[in-house]
Amino acid sequence: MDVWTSERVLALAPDAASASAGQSLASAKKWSGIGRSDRALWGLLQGSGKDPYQARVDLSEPAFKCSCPSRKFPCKHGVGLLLLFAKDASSFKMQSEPGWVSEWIESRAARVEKKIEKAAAAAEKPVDVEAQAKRAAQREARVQEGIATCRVWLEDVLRRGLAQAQAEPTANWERMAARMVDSQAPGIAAMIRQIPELLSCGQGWEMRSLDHFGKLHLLLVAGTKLRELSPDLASDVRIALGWTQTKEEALAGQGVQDRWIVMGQVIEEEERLRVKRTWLCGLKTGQRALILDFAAGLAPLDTSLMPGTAFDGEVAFYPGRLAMRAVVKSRTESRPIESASEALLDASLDAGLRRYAGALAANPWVSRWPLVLARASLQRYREHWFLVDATNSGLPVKESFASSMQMWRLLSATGGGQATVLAEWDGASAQPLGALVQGSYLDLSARLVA
Amino acid sequence: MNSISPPRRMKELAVSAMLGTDRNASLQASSVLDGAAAAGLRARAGIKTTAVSQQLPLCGVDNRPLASEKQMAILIRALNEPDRSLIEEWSELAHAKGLRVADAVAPMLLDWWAKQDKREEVVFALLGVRGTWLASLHAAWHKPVARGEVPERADELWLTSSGAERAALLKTIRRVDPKRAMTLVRSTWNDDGAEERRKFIEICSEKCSMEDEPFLEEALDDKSKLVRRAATQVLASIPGSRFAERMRERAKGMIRVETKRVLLKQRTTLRLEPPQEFDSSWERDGIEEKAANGVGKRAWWLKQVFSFAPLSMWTETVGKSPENVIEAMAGDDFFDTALEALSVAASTHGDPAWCGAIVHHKSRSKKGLDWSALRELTERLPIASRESITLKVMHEDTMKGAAAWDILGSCDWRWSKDFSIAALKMVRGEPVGKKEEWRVHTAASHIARCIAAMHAEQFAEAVMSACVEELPPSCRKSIDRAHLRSEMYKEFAR
Repeated sequence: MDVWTSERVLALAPDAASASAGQSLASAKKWSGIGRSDRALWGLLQGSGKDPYQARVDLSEPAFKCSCPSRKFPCKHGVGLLLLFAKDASSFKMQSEPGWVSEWIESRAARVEKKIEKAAAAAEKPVDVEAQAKRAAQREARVQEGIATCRVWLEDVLRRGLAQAQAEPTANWERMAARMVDSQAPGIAAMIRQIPELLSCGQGWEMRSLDHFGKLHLLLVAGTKLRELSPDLASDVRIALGWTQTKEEALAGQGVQDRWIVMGQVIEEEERLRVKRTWLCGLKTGQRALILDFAAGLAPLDTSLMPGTAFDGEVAFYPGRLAMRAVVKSRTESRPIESASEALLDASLDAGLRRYAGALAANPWVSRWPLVLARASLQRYREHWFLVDATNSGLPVKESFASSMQMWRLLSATGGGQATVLAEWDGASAQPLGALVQGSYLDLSARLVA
Repeated sequence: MNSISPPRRMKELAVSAMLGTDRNASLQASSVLDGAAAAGLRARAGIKTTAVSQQLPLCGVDNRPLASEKQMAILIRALNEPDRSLIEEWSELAHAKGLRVADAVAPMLLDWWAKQDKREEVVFALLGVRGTWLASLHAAWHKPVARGEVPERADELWLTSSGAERAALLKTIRRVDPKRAMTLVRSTWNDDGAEERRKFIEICSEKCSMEDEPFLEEALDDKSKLVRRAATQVLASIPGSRFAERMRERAKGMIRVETKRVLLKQRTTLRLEPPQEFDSSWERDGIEEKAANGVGKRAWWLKQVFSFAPLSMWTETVGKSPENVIEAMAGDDFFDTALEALSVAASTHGDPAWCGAIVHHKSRSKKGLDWSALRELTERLPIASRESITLKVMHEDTMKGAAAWDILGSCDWRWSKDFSIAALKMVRGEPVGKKEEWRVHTAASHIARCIAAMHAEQFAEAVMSACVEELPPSCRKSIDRAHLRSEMYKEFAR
């Protein structure tokens, strides 16, 4: 049962306050009626209300539910209960589930099945074709209008020069981004919103900015030629422009069956959303998959994929030239991982970069790419930190990582030696997200050291 | 265009883009963008790795067994909401058991430790070879580690550094090599400013001995009053110094021992008789002639002499224990002044027998108890006597309610088991009144760190019995902390 470590449970807490509150609830004395079955944990806790809160944890993923009014997810009661389980599983006696636990678990299972059914049904039954086509045409027209506006504007920026652009107030960029949102092209808007930061960030800013403008230009040009492109490529361009794909589209397709390792995870703020990127690697197929999860405001992020665990199951990819973004279609419970297989590793950093080049050829707007390296180490060279492979080839480590405690945790865990490392490559620098050091997994995104 | 590498092409384009295509008639904005799109993509796809031949030294092997996961979870919790006493207590327990910290947590503990003003050596010792290795790689961590070493160029640094740096340097050297420190001070003594000279003497009060006495005796003739006063303070703490001996003689001259026989019992009385006139030889030793407003001249002189005189003078002259000496003085007109002076002397010398006697006397006086004055004196006593005095004070004054909590809250040492039981017994089951509950909350936050860890449950009960109102979060946190400590001791007792 060593999937459940305190560290891993704490990483599930939505913020530091919940983690800390959960820790003080991780004591058997605070609970009444705690118990477990082979798939769930539950407990009652007297809060400030009249009735005690009913907290329950589905151990298969995990998933949480609690009757308390907290809007955080998982709430401190869920974190506390699971933490107590991690610390002292013996305080939970095996027994039959009370109704309020079994009903919840079963309704969850039913919901997942329904989603897949719905996806299958949606694929079969085209609804009001006419109205749909009309809506699609309307959007198409709006996006084309937006692209035309943006092209003129972008060329204008170039005519006046980057030095001039640097002096422009952020509000100007924001205004253009807002227009692109109005034109239903949020993908373009997001790229425009990245500009002010690129223009203002230190040495080499002009190269990075120009590269970004080039990328945007490429997207705009491709956007005007949607009809001439192959369906797969056109679909990638549309996604880059901001058309969304639904989970159902992915679920409708054939998935890849494998033992999937959750290699690393990172949560970032993007466009007022929290985005959780989780990288999966198939042990047998070597296939990588990116699971994205978005949440606005206080809405919960999914907790079912814990870094350093593995599950057997089917992962289905979204349509496109590059099979990368995916959803989990079916799965078993999480179990700890011990080692990586040859299949999922990049032979060297150069080999990893070649795969990245291949990915760019398929989809030039790919912004992040996973590198999975055995026998990687951190080295300092000319005042910078590098991720170095067994052949002494290195890539610079992301600045924000190099100045964080996470880097020191990795360095200390390896003692200057080698480990299997998963890093996200963004075209300029690598950010390690997780590592396997002597058989145990080190989560380098955990809030634990925030 | 294809003959040059994409990164170079990008560089060229960046030059044009920088100025803007409006300034270059031969260039179109769209062609720069086309070029950037192609060259940028090719540059990204063709990026090369860097050959890194340098390798960090490997960390040495640490053969100590790892602390258990549960033990580590407690440390991580203490580090997340940095809790100094808990982290240090954890480190002591782990070090005593010969355990090592999980490798990935070591830099967090090292970082916390390096940021503290007062760094407990046990934490760094616990980090072992990994701590030393990590510190060698990170300047911010290396600095505090290097602090214990005398720099190679100490003499040169002494001459060239700024005031604060010299003080820090002197502190380090004084700790390692007291003699060398004194040599440094003397080497520039005549050129240093008065404030600097004063500071150096203060720093040298640590580890002072008869070796320093001649220099300090000379400093009594310094032209600055600041320096002279600093020198008297240090000299008074060196047993056998000429200064102390002079004070001993002066003090002796101010007391008269009378022995009477009352009802077959011999009774000794001490008469305190400060002279009528100021002796001009006193001035060199820092005794001031003029008293502050409202203080009698003679009392003022007596107070100064008694606070500097060696405490051994009293027991030798009267031939009895500190308790008897105090008893013998009681009733004299100058008694209160003398007791004040003795309190000063007892604290500067850290003499437990005298501190105990004064505390004992004060705790029995009818004038009401000033616990804060007692606190300072008890600090010098061994924990066992502090505890017995505290219990006595609480007991004799039948101290109840919030006042009793105040006293326990100020007991900032690690309580013994017996003291924990006895102290909690005295406050348990006594509601303090709604308006006073905040005092319990404040005390609880201190007690939670000090109480014998196994008595967390009784502590929680005592707090809850004292407060009728619902406990505020801060207080619940204190109770959690006590429980956490108790859990920690249990984990290390396994």
